[in-house]
Amino acid sequence: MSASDERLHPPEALDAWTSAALEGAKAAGARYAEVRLVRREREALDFKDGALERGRVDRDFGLGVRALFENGWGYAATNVLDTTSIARAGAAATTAARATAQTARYGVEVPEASNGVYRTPVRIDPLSVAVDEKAALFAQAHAGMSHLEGVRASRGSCISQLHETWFRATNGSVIDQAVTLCGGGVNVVAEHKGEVQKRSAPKSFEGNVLQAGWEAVVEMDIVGAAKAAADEAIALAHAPATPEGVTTIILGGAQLSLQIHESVGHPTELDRALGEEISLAGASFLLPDQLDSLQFGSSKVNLTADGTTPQGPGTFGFDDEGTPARAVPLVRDGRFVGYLSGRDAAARIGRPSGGALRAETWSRLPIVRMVNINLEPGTGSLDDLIGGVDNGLLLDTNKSWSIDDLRLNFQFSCEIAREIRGGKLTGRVFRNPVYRGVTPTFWGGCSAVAGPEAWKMWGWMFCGKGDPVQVMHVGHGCAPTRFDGVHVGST
Amino acid sequence: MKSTFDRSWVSDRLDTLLAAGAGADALEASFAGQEAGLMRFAESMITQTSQATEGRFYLRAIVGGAIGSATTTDLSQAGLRSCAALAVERARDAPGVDAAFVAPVGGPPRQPDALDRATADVDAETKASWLAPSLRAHESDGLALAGRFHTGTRTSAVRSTAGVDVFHQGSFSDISMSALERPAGHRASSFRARYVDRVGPELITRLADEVRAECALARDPVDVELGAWDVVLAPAAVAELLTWMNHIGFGSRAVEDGLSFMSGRLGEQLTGERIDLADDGAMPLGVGVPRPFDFEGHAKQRVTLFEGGVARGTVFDTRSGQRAGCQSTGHATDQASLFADGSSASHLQLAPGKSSLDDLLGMLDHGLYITRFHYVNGMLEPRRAVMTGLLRDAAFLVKGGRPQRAVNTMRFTDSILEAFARIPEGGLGRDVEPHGGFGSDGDCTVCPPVLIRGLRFTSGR
Repeated sequence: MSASDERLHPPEALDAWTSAALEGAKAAGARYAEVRLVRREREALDFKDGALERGRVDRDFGLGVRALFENGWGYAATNVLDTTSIARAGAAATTAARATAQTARYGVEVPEASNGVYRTPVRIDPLSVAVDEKAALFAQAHAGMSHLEGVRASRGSCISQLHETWFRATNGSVIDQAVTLCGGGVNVVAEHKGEVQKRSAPKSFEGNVLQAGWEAVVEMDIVGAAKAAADEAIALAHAPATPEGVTTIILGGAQLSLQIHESVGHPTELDRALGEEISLAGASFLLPDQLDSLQFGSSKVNLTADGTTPQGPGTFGFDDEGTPARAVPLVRDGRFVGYLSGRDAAARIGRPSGGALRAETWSRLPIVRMVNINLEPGTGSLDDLIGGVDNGLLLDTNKSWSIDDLRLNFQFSCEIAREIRGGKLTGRVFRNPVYRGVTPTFWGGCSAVAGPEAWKMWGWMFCGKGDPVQVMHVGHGCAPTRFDGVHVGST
Repeated sequence: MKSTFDRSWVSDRLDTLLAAGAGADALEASFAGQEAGLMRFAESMITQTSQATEGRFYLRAIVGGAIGSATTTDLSQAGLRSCAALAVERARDAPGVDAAFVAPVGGPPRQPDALDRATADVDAETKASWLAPSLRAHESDGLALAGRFHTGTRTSAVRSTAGVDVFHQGSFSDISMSALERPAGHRASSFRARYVDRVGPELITRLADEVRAECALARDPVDVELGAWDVVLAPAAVAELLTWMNHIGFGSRAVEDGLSFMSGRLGEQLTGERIDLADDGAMPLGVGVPRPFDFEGHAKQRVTLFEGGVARGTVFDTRSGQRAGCQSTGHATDQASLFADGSSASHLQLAPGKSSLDDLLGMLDHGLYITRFHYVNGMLEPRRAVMTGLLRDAAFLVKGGRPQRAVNTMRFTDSILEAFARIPEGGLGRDVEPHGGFGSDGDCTVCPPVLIRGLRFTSGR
């Protein structure tokens, strides 16, 4: 906590509150309980045409209690932070657990205690950087593209966030964590004779948000990237539609990261595979009896759920039920070998927890979430990948995404398609590219993954899951990757 | 049970915020709170039970024509004062010279009778008892029952130095039910949902019985050819399309950036003549969860978006209205949201027709009856409202006006403006349903089933 926060909420209150929550749960009959006190400060800046359009700071502070009665979990949360209300929340968690226990079918073990501290390594605290300094960067980015013929508008965004968690449990666990996220991006809209095209950098939507300080934004070269994006938006407004056909594609990281997210991350969530997220998100084509046998992709494909990757938004010391972060192989040499999981789901398939039970904030109960789902690097550069393509497309930057409830049939559209002929980029671009496929067939067509030099972390802030939805920040490290035999077209 | 967030509790803290921000030229303090209980179930057992009391205060301050804002869930006096100081500090550092809070627009908001204490107070034990017979019935049929049962109250209040002073508390119940053959998601399934302001055990039982019966009819689905199909869409499927039309078309950000299908086209025939679409927080079709005012405390005005398929209007908050030379329509969004920006429609109402569901199916010689879409996305080509999505849960081949075999999932990709232009005479249903939005607390879409000729299906599994 910063000095000002310590004045607002002295440590003695933290102990009193967490104790009141655990005592309230135990007094109501819980056989185990854990409490998370969460404080999150988030600054979000939106820029329009180089000027600050909207700035807001959100301070989130509250407490959630998870209680176990027999084999049922219950959860209660409050931000009315006095010991009476907190003790009441503890009791309410146990009451909720009694309701769950009525139909529970699976045994739940009380975990061993965990203790530790985790803090993001940060060079420049993003919440201490003046708004003016941030705004100047985006104003400069806009100035570099606003004069270009055809540019109609530009937007920018910047997020800085500190998320602190104090975790205590009746088994003696004591865990303190502070995770810092920072990042952003720009997009530019260009028009030519009624054709409107948008181009983003370094990634669409929230930009690229990493677990880091303000240095993450400085290192993005947003000014240079914005100018390149504007040139491409103008070119796209003049470009023909992407031709229809089956071809070889290379996906750049700003698109591949979402491909990994939707077709690898979500189907490897064990709660989905067990049918527990069916009410909204759906299930998974990856059933537990296919572990270690199903061929998910080609031998080039190695995917890992890693809660420890540097700069990954899905990195932490402990998940939200106190399990230490770890790396879990999901796909090895193309074979499906593992799931994302928490303790209870993992126990049902006889495996240890994958350390992936996470909650958006204090008001939401933890569920199985992605951490950093990384495609392990192969060899060579992007140019090497392109050199192996006689006739194909380099696609990048997501525009739309959709995938079925088993995570099989997907369709993505991208901002840009670049033509490849004879092992080289021709300089020609196509607008509105769409590609589609079925997950194992698509990954089965993976013919090359670029090497460590091209490997980069991409952050996605707003992964939606749960019902009602809670959002989570996750990471996807990857290098450009080539896929053969993909159906491509245009909207 | 007494609400924590009653009028006096909220009022005291709004006063604290306004007093703490006294150095500003103008202030707007607001509150959004939820006291709710959630029960989720899957595999015919209760999987999650939770309760949350969550209140968030907002302060926007204007200094020298520039605006600053801060929000907090730290409800202590120190936390509120710190929030106010931060908002004022941000306003001092912000650019801008013409920001202003305005007096209430459209008169005092209508205050609907939307608080049903019995709905607000349904506790976990009661929910479990209402669900128990349905969980047992599905299990005895070899089916998995899954869904959510979320109830509680939402409280909102706004007070400003420009004279806004409003408070509202309403109950809600957000219910979904799916019946599934096992393994769940891999075989037949059926879905129902409702978003209403009051609930009792009869609605739970009715929805559970409906999905159980429909799931039985959806067994052993078959593949059908891709291509253009005449389809009847159940209200849940229509609501998903309308929600996406709002995301890409009716709010100020998309309109101002020129990315909306409405940008520069008001007065043009953009879709079918049978489409009368409005946004109206008073829920004039008699179902759903009303909302009397927006996040700036301005009364939600009825805004006609399409009249006979002609684009008539979009929605505004104060700032986007100023830029467009008009007043707010009462559609300001959550100031703390990382998603919402500017104005947005929130209570879409598609005017119904006169046909029963059987009438609509009777108009299909060879078509599909679709109960739900999955993962619709409307960002492909927003100027044409090109969307893609998939069939999910029960969908049926219809021949000679009668549903036959269930069909496997496949993906549609089509312009929804163009698809709505292919609704024939008599193609609008009469029976409307209220549905909540994906991840947007309190938004409510009300719509009937519709018949569309030639919806384009582009791929399958």
